Amino acid sequence: MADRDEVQVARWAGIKERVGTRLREIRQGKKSQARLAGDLEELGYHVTQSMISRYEQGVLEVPLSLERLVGWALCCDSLTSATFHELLVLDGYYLPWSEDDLRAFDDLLRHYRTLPLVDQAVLRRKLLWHILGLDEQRDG
Amino acid sequence: MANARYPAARRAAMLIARRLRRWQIEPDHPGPSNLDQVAVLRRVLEEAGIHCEDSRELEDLAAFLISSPRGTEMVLSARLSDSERLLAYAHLLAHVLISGQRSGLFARFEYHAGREPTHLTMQERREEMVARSLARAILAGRLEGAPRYLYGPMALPSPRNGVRRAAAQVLLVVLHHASRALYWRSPSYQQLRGLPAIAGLVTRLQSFLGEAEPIAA
Repeated sequence: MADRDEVQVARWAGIKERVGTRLREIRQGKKSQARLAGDLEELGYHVTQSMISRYEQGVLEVPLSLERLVGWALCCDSLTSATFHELLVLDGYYLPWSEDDLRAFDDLLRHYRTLPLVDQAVLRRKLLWHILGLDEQRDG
Repeated sequence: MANARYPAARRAAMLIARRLRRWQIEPDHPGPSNLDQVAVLRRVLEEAGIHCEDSRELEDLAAFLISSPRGTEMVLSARLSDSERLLAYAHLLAHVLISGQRSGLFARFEYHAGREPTHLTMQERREEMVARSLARAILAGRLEGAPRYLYGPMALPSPRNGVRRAAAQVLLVVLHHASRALYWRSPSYQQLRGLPAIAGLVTRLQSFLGEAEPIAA
């Protein structure tokens, strides 16, 4: 843990169980940890099934970055705008969305979940970059 | 939070309609192919800051639009034919227009025929209907076949140019609002409003009441 601040470690220690519980709740057994690891891999994250398990139990010492947290949440079948907001707040981030935005996000998730998995994957990649406010690296 | 997608889409819709109309009225022009028209749409959309790309992976989705303060992009299935692409671009653009000044995250999905969801809300069905109608007006090169407030700026009456002019502006604003409200509710009115004769009549009335053509750029 030499590359992490003492304060950062202490802060993560204080929230890791609650974050883990929330993450477990939004996955809610509909999606296996292995499947979630695969979805995260597709999004460009390397989070193994074992790491997912330990994060959900709140025992992993490595803080979850904002990028991972957002990507993880988007891969979960029980995510709602409210839980997304709550999860980010819990982790100390501010989601600058109005009530209308939260409603629009729920509508988006409702439609997104009726799509085949391949369509969901394409959309999730786009959504992730938009939520993080980043420009996607495009080929060519 | 400022919404940049709406003015960009408005500008793009006007430029596209103008370009397509010019093609249609040029007597010597053999008529643009769907491929030509797709190229125009895509170029104008890109110039308006709407990123367009194709995806070979999409299955049920024919296309989708996603927009946020980071930007707006349209992703189309690479399997679409040129005529389907044309419709998809116009339809997604119409959705941006009817979303108006709504800010924040915004997304719309276009499905392949027969894959449409059955769970749309009344509001979503209505939006879909209006978007289709507006897309037809864009592709016909006749945006005036749709209510001005769906694609043009909302004018505010000002007494600075005299009472008669202000009164004409008030009347125009009322008529535009009424037209838009009716367009949202009535498929018959959408069809009627799209007829060239009615669109021409409305344009003449607007001109008579002193309204300028919307400016595209």
